[in-house]
Amino acid sequence: MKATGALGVGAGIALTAGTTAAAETESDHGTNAFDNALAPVIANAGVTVSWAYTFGGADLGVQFAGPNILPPQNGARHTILDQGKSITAAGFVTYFVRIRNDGPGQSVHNLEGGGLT
Amino acid sequence: MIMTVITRDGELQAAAMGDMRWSEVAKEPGKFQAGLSAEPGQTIKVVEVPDKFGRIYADPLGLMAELGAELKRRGLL
Repeated sequence: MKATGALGVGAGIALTAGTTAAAETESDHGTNAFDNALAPVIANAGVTVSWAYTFGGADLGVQFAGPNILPPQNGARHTILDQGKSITAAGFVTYFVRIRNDGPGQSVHNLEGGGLT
Repeated sequence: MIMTVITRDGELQAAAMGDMRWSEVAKEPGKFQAGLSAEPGQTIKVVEVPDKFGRIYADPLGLMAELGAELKRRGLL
């Protein structure tokens, strides 16, 4: 199955100037990739941020997401803790990832990732 | 302006522009969407803050502390 979808911005998600959320992605049960996606989150050192994301509810197989670390970077390190996937009785698929800011200080990130199959 | 803040035990932990709550943004079929979910012990709130916090990504060290103080002052932490 091959599909082309637009990577768009959902309701209520704001972007800072200079970031881009719109991109054309090509999907073959999950080979889509996304980068610099969605509103950045600024987190204190030691804080874990839990993200959920969806491709309009579609099941795109195994997806992997991680932090796109944004300026100021200052040696920032983030650890990806868990990847997850859920599906409702109606077949709506949601993906999850937990990202921990391992310091050395506050850091800003949004999401990057794509499919593994 | 609107921001989403993540707090734990009365302390500000993270912040983002706009309404980033997962349950609020995941509404449109066919669109890529993402949002934040609370970790155990965290609280996610959407707050209205002065426009100066729009510079928070350029000055995270200073403005996060100031945002935390502002939220405490308003009883939101």
